Amino acid sequence: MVLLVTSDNKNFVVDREVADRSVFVKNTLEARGLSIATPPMLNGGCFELTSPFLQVLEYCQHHRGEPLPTTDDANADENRKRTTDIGEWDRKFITVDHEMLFEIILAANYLDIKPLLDVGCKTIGNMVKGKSPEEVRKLFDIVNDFTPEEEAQIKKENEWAEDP
Amino acid sequence: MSDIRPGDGLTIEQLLRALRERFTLIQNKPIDLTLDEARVYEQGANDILVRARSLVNSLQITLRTPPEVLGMISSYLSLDDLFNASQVCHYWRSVLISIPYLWTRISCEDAPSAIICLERSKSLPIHLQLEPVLSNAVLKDVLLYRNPVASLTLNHMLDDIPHLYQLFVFSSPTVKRLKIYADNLLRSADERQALHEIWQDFPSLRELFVGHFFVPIDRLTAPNLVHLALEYTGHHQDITVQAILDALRGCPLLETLLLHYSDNTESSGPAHDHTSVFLPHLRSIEMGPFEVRSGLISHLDFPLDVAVGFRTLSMEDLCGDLPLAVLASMQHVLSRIEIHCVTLAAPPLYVYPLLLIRFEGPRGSLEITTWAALDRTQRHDVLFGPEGVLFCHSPRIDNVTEIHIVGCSFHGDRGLDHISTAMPNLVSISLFNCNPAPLQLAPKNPSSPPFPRLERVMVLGVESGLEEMTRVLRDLGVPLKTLVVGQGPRGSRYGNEDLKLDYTLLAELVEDLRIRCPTKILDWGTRNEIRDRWTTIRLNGPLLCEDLALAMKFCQFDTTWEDGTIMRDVP
Repeated sequence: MVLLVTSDNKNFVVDREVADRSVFVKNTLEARGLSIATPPMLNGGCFELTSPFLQVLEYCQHHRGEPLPTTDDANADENRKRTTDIGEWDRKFITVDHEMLFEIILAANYLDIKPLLDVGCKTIGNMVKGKSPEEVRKLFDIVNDFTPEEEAQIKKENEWAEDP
Repeated sequence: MSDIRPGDGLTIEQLLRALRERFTLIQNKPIDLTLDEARVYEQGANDILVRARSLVNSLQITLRTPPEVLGMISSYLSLDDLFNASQVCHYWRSVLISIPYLWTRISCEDAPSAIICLERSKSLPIHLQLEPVLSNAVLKDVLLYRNPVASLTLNHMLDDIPHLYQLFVFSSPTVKRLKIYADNLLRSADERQALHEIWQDFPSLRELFVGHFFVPIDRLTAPNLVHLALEYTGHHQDITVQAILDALRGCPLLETLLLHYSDNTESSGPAHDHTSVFLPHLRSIEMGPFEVRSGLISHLDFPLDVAVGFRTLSMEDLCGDLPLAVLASMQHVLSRIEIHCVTLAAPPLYVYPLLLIRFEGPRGSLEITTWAALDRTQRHDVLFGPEGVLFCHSPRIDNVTEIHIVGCSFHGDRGLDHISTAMPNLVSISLFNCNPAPLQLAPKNPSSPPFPRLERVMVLGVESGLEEMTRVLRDLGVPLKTLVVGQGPRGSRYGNEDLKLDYTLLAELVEDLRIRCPTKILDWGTRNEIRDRWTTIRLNGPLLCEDLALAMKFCQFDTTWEDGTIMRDVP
């Protein structure tokens, strides 16, 4: 068993097999020879870790025992990018509000859980697909903050697309 | 005004205060301003507004996403979507256009966009997609920027062979993945000769997929090739078995091989003195009828646990007095591979368009597909009967643990008797669009279970008889552990009226009942990428070669297809 302590001092005791889904935790444990890992604060402490961490734990528990992706297989990585399919369980798991979705992605990125990061990124990618910039802004509550120079550049960039 | 522009190290509060003071002064004495001075104020106000908007954005978690993660998200976007994403806000734009690998996909749809991509991709290797036609403008840009070409996909029009030659010469040293097809078959000898010349040495090539395009196989030099699929590439040339063997001998790293419809391959029986080619890394091999009839496969040597597929064979290829070359091919394969999984597929009855169901085991699988519907006893005997090719030439057939049967009707008394005799160790049976299927697994008044080790059954299509089947099996002492039922796929004649079972009763009879298990179906020739353009004229074409390669890469328990889909029994 492994004790994981989040940045907001919540303790989680999990099986080593579950904890090892995170390459960060795995490497930390192996390097220190300890049974405890303390993920440091994320983003300077403004990140509330417990909530997404619970989600991340659920993901790791579901996928425990599955082979971890190798980092040195460039072809596998290339093939991964060719598909945006998401498994049924993963799809249900990742059906959360936008803020939680991004928090899960950030946590997966920090904890180095590549399959979860992939699922999150594919989900965002699928949401963005087929949408205009304005629709994407509306989707994620983003304000158009382009400078006039950037606007001019974008307009020029789009001229080819607007040609009949 | 110019002394309070953003970016001078002032805080938002300082900027706003300074701006407010200036505006107060101006409002009191507007007449003292020139138009140019007023525009400077307007510019300054706009800058402040931009900063304020950025400030709002910076508080959104969306925009706290690290650049590398935003890049990863964007790697799943199409080029059009990528352009749109780069126009969402300042942060997204600055991140996305600073990641060169995102812009390495070059499409020929619009030459100006290709230039933007080439500029942003820096000098990274590019993935060039020249469809629906080879664009000379894009080609010119590519040659100008001189990024190495990592992958090349093109649909080639026949009137542009010089540009194709230029492109091949340029990309041949670096290209790893080449996919080429044509809409029209070549006809004249001059055109074939011109195309003959375009083929270069491909020292880096790992994947080659060609459809409906002439390939002079004797010129193929690609020592690092891992995946090779040639579909409809013969074009009435006199291709010799020896030429193909020589080409394959030069590709010792091959893992997947699909040769389908290399027409006019010379017939050669086992007596022909061809030197065998050993492909030690081969995991999957698929051959069309011409390759089987030519005896080509009998000169290939490969590991015992390879997955073999015979595509679209005819009745004559499967039973009776087989031609010598066919006999040699079948004997060669069936006597040596260690089969644990067999798929026998005919076009499902009354189904249009035709569907191909592929059940892919990780290793040691055999798949035979036929053109003819196996809807009569004498016909499905060619596969299941004792005189059929499968049982005659597979000495280790009793080792098979999984069988998948597609599109066969079982009428008469014999049912699945031949199969249960030949394959007593079956653990898993899948029946897709077979009629009447379930009851054949548990015939009336049996004295012993027909398949004593049976644990899993999957039935897609007609479900009548399922309950009785599971009850009989339970009473015979071989209760099913897993039962998967589901409706036939799109195009199937089976509709909701066939799904009136009381699944609660069924659930009590099996340990694990899966209803409408998510099955994915690859439409045969209708949904895959390379054949989209031929949908109307070639509905029943062979399996897309690219899918094969991808499937083999991904396959573990599940077989995953990139763009269509596949089905797979539950593990």
